[in-house]
Amino acid sequence: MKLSELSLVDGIRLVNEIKDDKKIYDVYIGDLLSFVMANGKEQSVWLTVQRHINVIAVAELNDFSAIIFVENVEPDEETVLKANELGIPLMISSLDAFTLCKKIYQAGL
Amino acid sequence: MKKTYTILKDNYEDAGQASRDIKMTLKMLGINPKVLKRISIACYEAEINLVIHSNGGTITFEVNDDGKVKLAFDDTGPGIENIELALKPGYSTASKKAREFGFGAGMGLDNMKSCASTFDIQSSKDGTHLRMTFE
Repeated sequence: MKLSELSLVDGIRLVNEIKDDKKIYDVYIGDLLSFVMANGKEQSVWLTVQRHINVIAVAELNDFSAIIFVENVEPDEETVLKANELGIPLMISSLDAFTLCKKIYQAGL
Repeated sequence: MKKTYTILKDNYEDAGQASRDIKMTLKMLGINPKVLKRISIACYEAEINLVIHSNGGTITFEVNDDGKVKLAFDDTGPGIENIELALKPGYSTASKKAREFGFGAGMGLDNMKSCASTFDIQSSKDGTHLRMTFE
């Protein structure tokens, strides 16, 4: 699945522009950064409720394709600015991680 | 090549920047992606530890001609009271603030140990000195 297709899934809205329409191969759900660092796979989309700027470093070090803030969590302003600088797509979903996962799966991932 | 970064206490905003720079540099040097992933994880965990636990310190990063990567983390205290306990997965002394940001899972040292080829940590109240190599 490509990022542009992911962004069309019901309940997902874009925070910033997708500049590079990368493929995604997996989903990782987690809020404890050490677990995300140790277990996240590259080219995954990361579902989290952490809004702080450090999620960007974690996403970049893990080569994640995008971050989705679930349950309507709004990322901090610094988080969005850093993501823009590094070209990391951010999205928000009103859904909880499990429900959103089901939708992403149904959409073809 | 050798490079040193200064890490400030409680600087959550920039936490991870040195690890990012090290990752980019190694990527440029064409290091094996699997080794790079291990280095990224270990380096980030150790950098975060400097930010959330230490009074501040430095990261020194070295690549030898044979491709071996060395990372050194040195801080000026306050030291780890019980290293054995700190190495135990799930044990954490992180502050409430650090935990709110998603740190303090108690997995840091364990993650580093399983990623590094060699791992050595020495600590006293004057500072903690961590050495890791990767190949």
